[in-house]
Amino acid sequence: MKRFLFLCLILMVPLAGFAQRTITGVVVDENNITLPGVNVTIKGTFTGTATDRNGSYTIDVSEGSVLVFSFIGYKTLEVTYTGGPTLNVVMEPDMIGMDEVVVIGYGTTTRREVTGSVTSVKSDRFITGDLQTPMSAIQGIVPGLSIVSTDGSNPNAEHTIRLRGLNSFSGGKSPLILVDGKVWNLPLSIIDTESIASIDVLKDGSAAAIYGTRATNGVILITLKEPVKGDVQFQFSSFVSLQQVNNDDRWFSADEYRDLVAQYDPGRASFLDRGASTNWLDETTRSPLNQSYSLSMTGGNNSLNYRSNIMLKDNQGLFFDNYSRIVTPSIFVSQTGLNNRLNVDYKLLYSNARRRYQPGGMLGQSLIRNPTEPVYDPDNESSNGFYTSFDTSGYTNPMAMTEESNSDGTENYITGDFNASFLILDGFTANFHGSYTASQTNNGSYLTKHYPRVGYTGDASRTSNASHYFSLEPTLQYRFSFGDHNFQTMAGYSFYEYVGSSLYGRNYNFDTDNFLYNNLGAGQALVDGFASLSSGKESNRLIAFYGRAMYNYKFKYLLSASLRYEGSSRFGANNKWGVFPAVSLGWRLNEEAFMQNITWVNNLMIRAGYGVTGNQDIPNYQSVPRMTVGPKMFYDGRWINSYQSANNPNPDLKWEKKAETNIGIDFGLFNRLNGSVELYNRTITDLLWWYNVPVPPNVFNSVYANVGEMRNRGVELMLDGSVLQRTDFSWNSTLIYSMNRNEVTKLADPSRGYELDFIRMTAAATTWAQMIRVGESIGNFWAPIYLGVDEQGRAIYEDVDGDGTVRRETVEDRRIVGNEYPDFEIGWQNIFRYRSFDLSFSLRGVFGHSLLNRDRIAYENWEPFKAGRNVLKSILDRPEYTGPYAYDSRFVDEATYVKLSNVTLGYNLRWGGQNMLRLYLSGNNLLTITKFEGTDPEKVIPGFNTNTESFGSDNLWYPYSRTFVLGINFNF
Amino acid sequence: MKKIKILLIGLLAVLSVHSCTDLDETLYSTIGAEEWYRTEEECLRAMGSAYGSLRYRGTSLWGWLATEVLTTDEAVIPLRNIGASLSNEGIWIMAQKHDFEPNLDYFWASWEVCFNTIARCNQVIYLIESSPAQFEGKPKMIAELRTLRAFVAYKAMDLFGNIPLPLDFLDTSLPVQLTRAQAFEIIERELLESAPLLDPILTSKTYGRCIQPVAHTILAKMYLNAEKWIGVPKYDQAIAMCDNIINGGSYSLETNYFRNFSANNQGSRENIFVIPYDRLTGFGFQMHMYTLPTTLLPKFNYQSTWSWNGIVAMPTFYDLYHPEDSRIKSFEFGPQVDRNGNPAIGLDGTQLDFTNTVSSILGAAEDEGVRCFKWEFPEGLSGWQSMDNDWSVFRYSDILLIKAEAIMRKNGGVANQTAVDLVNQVRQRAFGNSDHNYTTATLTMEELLNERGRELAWEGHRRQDLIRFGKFGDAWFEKPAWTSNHKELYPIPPRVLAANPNLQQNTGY
Repeated sequence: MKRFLFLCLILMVPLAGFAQRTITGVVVDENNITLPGVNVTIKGTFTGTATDRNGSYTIDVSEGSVLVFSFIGYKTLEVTYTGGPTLNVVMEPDMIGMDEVVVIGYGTTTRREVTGSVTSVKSDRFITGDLQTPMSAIQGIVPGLSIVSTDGSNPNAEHTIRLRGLNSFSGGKSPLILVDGKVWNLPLSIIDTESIASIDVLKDGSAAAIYGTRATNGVILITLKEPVKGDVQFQFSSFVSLQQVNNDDRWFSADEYRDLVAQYDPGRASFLDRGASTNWLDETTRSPLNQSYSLSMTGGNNSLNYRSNIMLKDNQGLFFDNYSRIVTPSIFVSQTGLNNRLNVDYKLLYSNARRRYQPGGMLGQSLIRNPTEPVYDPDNESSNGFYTSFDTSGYTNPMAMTEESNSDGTENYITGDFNASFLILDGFTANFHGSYTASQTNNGSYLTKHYPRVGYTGDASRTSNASHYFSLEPTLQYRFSFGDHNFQTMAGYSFYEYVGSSLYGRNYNFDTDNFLYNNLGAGQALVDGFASLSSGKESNRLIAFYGRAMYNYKFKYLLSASLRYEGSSRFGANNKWGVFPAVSLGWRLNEEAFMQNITWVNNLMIRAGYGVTGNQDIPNYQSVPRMTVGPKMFYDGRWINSYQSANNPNPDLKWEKKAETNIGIDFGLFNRLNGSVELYNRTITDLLWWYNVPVPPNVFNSVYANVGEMRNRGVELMLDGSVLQRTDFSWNSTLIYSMNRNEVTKLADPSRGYELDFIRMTAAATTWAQMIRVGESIGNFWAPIYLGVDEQGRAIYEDVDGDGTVRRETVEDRRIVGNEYPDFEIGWQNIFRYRSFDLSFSLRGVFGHSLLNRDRIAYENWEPFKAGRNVLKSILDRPEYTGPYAYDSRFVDEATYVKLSNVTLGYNLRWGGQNMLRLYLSGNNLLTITKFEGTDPEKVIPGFNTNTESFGSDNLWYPYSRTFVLGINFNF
Repeated sequence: MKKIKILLIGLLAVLSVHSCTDLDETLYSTIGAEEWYRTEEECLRAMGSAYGSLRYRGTSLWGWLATEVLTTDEAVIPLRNIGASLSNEGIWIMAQKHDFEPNLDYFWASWEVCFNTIARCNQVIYLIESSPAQFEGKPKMIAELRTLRAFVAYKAMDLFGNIPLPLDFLDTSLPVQLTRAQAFEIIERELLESAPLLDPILTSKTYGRCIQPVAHTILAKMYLNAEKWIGVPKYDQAIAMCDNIINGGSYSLETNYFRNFSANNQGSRENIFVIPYDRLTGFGFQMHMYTLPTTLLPKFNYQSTWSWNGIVAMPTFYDLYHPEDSRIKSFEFGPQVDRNGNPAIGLDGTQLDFTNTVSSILGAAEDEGVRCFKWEFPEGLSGWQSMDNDWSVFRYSDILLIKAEAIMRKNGGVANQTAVDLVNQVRQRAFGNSDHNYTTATLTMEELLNERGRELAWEGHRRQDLIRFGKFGDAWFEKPAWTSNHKELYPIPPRVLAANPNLQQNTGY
């Protein structure tokens, strides 16, 4: 209490009483070249400025204050002002980056103080080129972080992101992403990569645990560039890029197809050979030009500063009429007041995305189409001049699909932040962060009466989804030091709410195609009682209390501990709340006396951490017994609604929890090589899974329950150094390596006593490809072993258990033929600089995994050929096989690959301090080396397939492309 | 200023106490289970949901139509040389040739429709019993649900033999596998107990529901098969159950056989239990999709641009019909015309002409095989809409034939005059005269099976009949003969076995 009174007293001391004067100065580097953009702040206050294009600054300061000069790539400099009108300083380059700001969640710290496993990537290290989302900018740079495009070059797709393997069966598997402290629920592609200052990845449990129930998959913190004080500065960036479809020559061309018919089915040549020669992929795709523009302005006076930004991105798809057009204006205003004790940030971002989608299955239809079929058939009026052929479902002219349909959408996003910090006394800050995010997406789809097999005279639908996210986070932060003891503490409360609603309407049989989906009521199906209409709404809440304390002695011995107590509405009544503790320790050896003579060691730190996180990313309402509208019942001559229970409720549903131990070593050697090694062990308990239960006693075939445990262990390595450093020439290289091993350690709920179900994948007859078993890794492909064919051409399989009967569906007659998850991944990035030129390239490699090749399963047998479709040329490897398509050991492919993901050549011009012009040429996804017999091994994500997927053309989604970029950056 | 601050702090405090730790879930598009079953109307609506699976899977080619029709000598789905083909990677050929792989979807669907319905019945029975709503019809409603449950259990027992059959919703232990005899006994008991409580007469409110004659029909069919299934002949009981229905007066033979299968067959006096269908209810009874070639769709003004040209009558089965038998029109033979009477043109440019041939299961011409026109094709369907015809699960003519068969079997497989009279009722209706009537000499067991085939073609009785007559293992078309009887039961789907370790796969699989 005494202490509190003391604090109050201090508060009342008017800071303005100290004598202030305005001083100026120039900041230069070690070569006496002026440095523009250096941050100059008065320690312990929000007062600050930045150097202008001539490297000079002006600031109001009182005697005895400490001025802090910070700039990326330079050691932070603290200078006590002792009087005089000028203060010029020289900044030294920082090869090791010990003063680099690291964002750690609810605050920042410096590289020097970090004890968790945190990788920070500043914008100057971002990969350039035509980036689909900002995550492309750090692809292959952060060890343990996999960022893949699972949907090819689809302009409307986002990346799939995984950190340190797979850490959930059925819950969310993506890292939590925050932008300036706010959970980001919107597409990342709407963020302008040029507006990002840094991306920090919290990898281990001890670093991530402050985010509790959402942190199991790691946390990615995106920090936007802040306003810079002074005269207005402009940053303009733009590029155009040309995409080129990666060819898929696994399929027969028209001539080859005719040879195939002549050799294998000459009797039906009249049916199989339709007389034309068409390269369907050439017909349906194009080489589009993409454009992107970004312009930002920043400036302000000492108390009010702003940064405004606008991004325009026009991505044309590889298919016709397929695009995404995104416009994102944003504004960031920062106000300092109350004698520099109050800092208020307002941020507002609006984004509008207009998208047009290719018809579903376009790529598949382009590949499996009989190459002897013509595209057009001018005499066919009912198909509007498109050639049609009869087949079962799933075989339609892709050009007709494109021309006779229209599927597009508009998305509007708005997100605003209010962030107030009040400096109660030196080092003690109260912080209030509130944010609101709304998204509204409207999609419409129309199929004309000529759309292949539509069956209606026009089919229109509209979908509308609205989501609202609201969060409130007051925190208190206190930083202080006693002698060499440094403390940094934080405590807070968090409230987060989501409300989502949807509306869907569909009608068909229109009198004209002119309305598209814009006059839904005009369709005859509504009158006839066949139109559909549905709506829904759901919500969930997260509430948390949390705190963190960091301590170090001379930055030599470091300790950090955090605790989060958090509850989610999604879980069962008795398990709503969870506790998520974390602790980590660090020891900086190079500060010890015995290391002082070893001058080639610039930095050596050993870290160890332990943290518990949760995963609440599951569907809403799984724990509550609910009733919903059931099938219609015929009663007294009319159809009325019946009502039925909606789920097998599980009131015992609780968090998936992950406990992670992480040991890391950071090192800096010879003033030119930085690196770190991380070892981790993750144990995930109470894994959630939809598993099969008998019906009855259950009403549904599956229940969502906590059923198992698994472990992920791994090693990560990062080396980052300057290989060569000459006056005119330099070569910097970054190498990352990561490996992860998984083991399922426990399964099934003893109180129920059921085995966990398999992962299922379907042909027309259901089969399964993977199985989760105790003691094994997830992702194992179990397949019947193909031995050859009998005299009738049907497959012979190995009788693995030797009991005389081959039961292909049972695990006893299958073997593990591969695993879906990689043994290890490598990333290698290089930057060469010669005078004004720079050249960089990035290689990514993923090794030792296998993929189920669905194309081969469906199109490496004679059935589709008999039906008049194209098939894979590899059918000729085993032409004697006459069976239907089947899942067996033939179709699990090794998928190791190495990709040249980026090459960039740049030319940089600098003049007059701040002014900079950069021109670059860049190529993305230029080369892939792999044995995988598919279009691209990146296509199929190491996901965790819980659905029953259909084989065949549906799984060929979108082509990959090479991209060539011509870009410009202009700062003035 | 100070006042405002105090006010603000107070407001914050109130807000935080009220909502800062509130994590109750709010439901919007569904309702909490405790908010249902409060009135008779709500109990009725809940009961209706138990019938839902029947409509979805009951007539599906991926359900009972595959396991009860396609595996017999009634029907075949050949691959087509030209045009649409219902191939599905050979699963229909496997059905026809009795290559029964346990993981085939139609086994799962056939199982699921039964056990999903049983589970829902268990739940709804429990919830109605424990509902605070008190109303007069409650015992009858529960008896109806027990009968529905017994119906699907009877189906499951017929298809899979050794089934689990838990009847208590609160018992959540793993169900145990019963022998066929045990299951038989439980189903019989359930039906005998429920039947007296049920409505004896069909009304518009009980149409498509399990009333007393439905319970009696199930029992009649079970007793007829009892000797085959559990080794105990129960022909007297079968006759008694048939008599209950025959003397009950609710049902009689329609003069026109096809009245029972018309698009608007609700008024049929012959259909004892139906699964009601309507195009409004969406996916359901898709015979038009299964059997018609795409080129014939315009004749019925269908908006679909494709159909499967799949299932056709087995040529040997079609041959069973006498040319004067009106039921031969169940299958369409010969040249086809369009809506205007002009020739309907096939894909090869010639007139569609349905022949009673199927060259090969691996390759038939577009118009090979006679098509199922038994269920009148309603006009103007589109897309995946169901046909409007209600599917008759049990029919009065079946009752007459069951009684005749029970009499004959009791009589050492020989017909007496009572049996002949019963069969002749059916026969005379079919021919419109008595010229083709049986005598005690001509009505052999073999002839009775054929007559059942003709009368009940494609209605889902053939498999049971062939098994009862010991003919399911015979060779027909491209199906080889088998002698090991294990194929008289289907394999239990692997995912069912995986979910319940108490269950053993049927022998031979």
